[in-house]
Amino acid sequence: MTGWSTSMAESVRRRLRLVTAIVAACFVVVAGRAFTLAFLTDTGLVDRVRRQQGDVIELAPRRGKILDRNGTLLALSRRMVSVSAHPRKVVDKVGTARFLAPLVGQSPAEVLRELRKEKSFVWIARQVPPSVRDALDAHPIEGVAVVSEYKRFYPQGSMASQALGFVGLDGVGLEGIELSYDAMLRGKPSTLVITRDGVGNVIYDHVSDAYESEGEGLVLSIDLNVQSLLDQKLNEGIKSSGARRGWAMAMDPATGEILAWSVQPAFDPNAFRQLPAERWKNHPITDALDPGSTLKAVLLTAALETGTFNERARLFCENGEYKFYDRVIHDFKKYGELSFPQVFQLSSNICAAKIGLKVGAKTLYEFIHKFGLGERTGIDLPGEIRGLVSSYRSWTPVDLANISYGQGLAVTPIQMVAAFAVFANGGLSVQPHVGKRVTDGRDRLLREIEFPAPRRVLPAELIARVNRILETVITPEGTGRMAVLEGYRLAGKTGTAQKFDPETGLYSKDDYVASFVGFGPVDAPRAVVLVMLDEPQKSIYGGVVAAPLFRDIMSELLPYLGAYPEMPGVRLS
Amino acid sequence: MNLFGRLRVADPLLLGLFVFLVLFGVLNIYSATQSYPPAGVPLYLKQLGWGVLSVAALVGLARVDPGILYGLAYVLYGLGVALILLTYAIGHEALGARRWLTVGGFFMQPSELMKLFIPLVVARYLHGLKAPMGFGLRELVVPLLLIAGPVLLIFRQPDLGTAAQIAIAAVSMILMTDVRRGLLIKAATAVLICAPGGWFLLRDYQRQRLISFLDPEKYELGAGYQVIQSKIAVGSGQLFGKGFGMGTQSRLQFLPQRHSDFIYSVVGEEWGFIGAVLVLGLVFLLFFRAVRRAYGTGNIFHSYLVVGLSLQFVWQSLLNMMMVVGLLPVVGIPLPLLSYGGTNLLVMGCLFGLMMAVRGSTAAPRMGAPVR
Repeated sequence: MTGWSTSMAESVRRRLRLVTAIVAACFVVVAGRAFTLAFLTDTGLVDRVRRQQGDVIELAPRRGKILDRNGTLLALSRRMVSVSAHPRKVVDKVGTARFLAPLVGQSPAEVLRELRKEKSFVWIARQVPPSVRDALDAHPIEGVAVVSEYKRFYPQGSMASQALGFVGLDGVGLEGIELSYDAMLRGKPSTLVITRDGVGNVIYDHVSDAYESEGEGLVLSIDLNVQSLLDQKLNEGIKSSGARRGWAMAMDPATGEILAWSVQPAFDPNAFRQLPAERWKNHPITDALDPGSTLKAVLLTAALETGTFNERARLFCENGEYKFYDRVIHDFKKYGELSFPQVFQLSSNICAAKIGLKVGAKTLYEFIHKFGLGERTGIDLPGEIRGLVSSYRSWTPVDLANISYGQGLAVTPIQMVAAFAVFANGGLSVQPHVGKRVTDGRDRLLREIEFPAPRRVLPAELIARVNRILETVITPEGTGRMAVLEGYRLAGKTGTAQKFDPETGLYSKDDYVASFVGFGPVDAPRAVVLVMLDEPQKSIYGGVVAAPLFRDIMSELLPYLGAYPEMPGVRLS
Repeated sequence: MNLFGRLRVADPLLLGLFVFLVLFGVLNIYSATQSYPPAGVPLYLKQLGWGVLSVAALVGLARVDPGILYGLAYVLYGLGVALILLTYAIGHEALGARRWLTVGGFFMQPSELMKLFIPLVVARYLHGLKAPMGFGLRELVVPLLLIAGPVLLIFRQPDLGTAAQIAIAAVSMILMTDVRRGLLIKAATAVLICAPGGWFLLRDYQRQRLISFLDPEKYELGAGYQVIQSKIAVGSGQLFGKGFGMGTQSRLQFLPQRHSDFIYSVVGEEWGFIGAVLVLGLVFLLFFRAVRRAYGTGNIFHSYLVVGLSLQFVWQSLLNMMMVVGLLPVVGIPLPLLSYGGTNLLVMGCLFGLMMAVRGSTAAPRMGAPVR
């Protein structure tokens, strides 16, 4: 081979530089693309990684406690364990099922069915006692894991159960306070974070710190002592009257704090699934009923305020039978001429209709609304309905007459409690509520729960006049004579309402709701108490079946709240 | 002469870059295969072994007389073509393609050898060519045929990626030689017109890849899967990456071929944009350093050979990285030096060895001086 020939021509050198430049440009393009992917891609590749690789299973968090106003535990969460499995990794499925079944209280077949699923994650048992963990620690099985979860316990059983509500297996509030304060009680959920690979295997799981996720505690305005008093009296009343069910509530009229919320029969929130959903219902806020004669208190206020009548007015009560258009209005007893206060003391429907017709539809409707009837009270329990008060414009004279004694409109029991709080408060309206304050995990006060301040809806002098008349109801002469309590001046109103049957669209001839709502002592009311019995059998009258319950409750409740009886000749020093 | 003395023969910077990239590749292969290690010897150890072999080949070949290469050009080329033909007869079939020959228990791809022999034979041919006006079409027929023959054979294996990469690198090698400017323009025009016709030469799955490249999201779980997962990996690395061994995309098997063809996305995910650009920069530096050797040889064969080899290296690198970041359709091309794969690594060792065999580069300009 002879010597090497020519060296590189200048043109080739130029072209080589060009090629180098082109290659360099390509490198810049790749770098630019990498830059775009890393920093400018708005589809969020980082999130996408998290999405396709992660899977999060939420675990029941340590939920905040619920306490009554004296600090008694109503609901708490305790650490339990839940057993999960990665079925593909469990080699001896039959043996594992046999081992696990007695531990978690299931049959081997049930466990085996889970283990045979073609999944990468199954629950074997949720919220079983912590001893299961010890057993599995001593005898670990490939593919079976134990995680901590919290289970909700209600140590007071069925007390105030409808108000408390309950939580689901995932620790989320489903009913009652557990639902309405869920976000606060729940805190941050602890999560089981699963990392999945490209072919669907679970790589590792990790439980986020459970302590951090603890929810805030809640102190209720409910007083368990008052609650048990109402529960007991109401149950006695249901039993003696043969009612289907009943409810009773006690509220502090000055603040709107609910002291007791008794819906009987109650249920045990620890085992809520064993009873039909009907039993979980908060009837005082979910049921609208004709208020019956208790509405006469509103009529009375309207008549006095507008000056249509005064205390000296006299009315003729048609001797118990009043033909009005095509209807006949009856009174329970035959009355001739009555004074205006007597109309309410004796609860004459005929005279109430006459007063209502004089007061007028528009005015009565306005007063119904001033007392908040037909509108949600805003109570901090879920599921409250508005009730039904149709516009006065659609009222016929017969409607007006009916509404004057409480038939033909539907209000919730809590609305009646709130309305009577206006009387007890001298004209101030309050919002009923069960939540009181928020605490941390160690029961230290974090904050008071704020509710709307009392709002004046009627002048105090007017309410004082009304109360003097309502007080006469609870005297030996009034319909509330069975509510008379020696040593106390109480005010209230009986109610007996025909039930509206939604199936026939008519008022039932046989089914009534008997009620009594009142407060005391009149001069410085400590409590508004409502008692309602649904479909009582022995007697249908509020004055007969509900009034004695009211009295029995008041006789123990008022001293408990610091209002002692005024005994003639006895002075408490 | 001791080992150190031997190594000093080569361009130390070039050798350093080569070794560094190989080791960085081993590191990333370790990370990529750590979570689901295949049975047997760990892949990163195998790769390390191939790396040592490859550096040995580099150092060994760097001492070869370029004159011998000149003399053996046609023989080596013929041998390479014969081996490719052999794959048709007794090749090991995998994934529907016959690309591999079994040699002593190892798989080897003869097509890889053509990355050495095509530049060699083209440089050899063009060296002897006299064309005062520059090369016209008549002068280029033979070298183009020399390229087209093996490329077509590789394409039919089928191995679209390797065929395309060798062709692109070889043609760009020819384009930078003394070709007439007019011809360049004509050629460029012809390519633009004929390119659509190439569609009909493709197999169905190759067409599918091209379609899915144009609209990967539409084929998220099918043909577009690799591209999307790779882009996700590179993109989710952000600036500094997720850290060594922390790349969830690769460790969790979302990335296909993560230790071989998609090693660059592992780099992007675990070392971030910084890592991706670092590899890019080092690869370019390697190319730049190599191609500079062409200027100072004083010998057109040497220059063409160095340029041809450098272009094979750099185009393979570029095509792979463009594929990984979604700029090109997915075709099976490994990233030189970094991807897992013995043949490619060994061939790259030889490639750089041959380049360094061409002496008289960086040290002193010896224009026109005889080599011996």
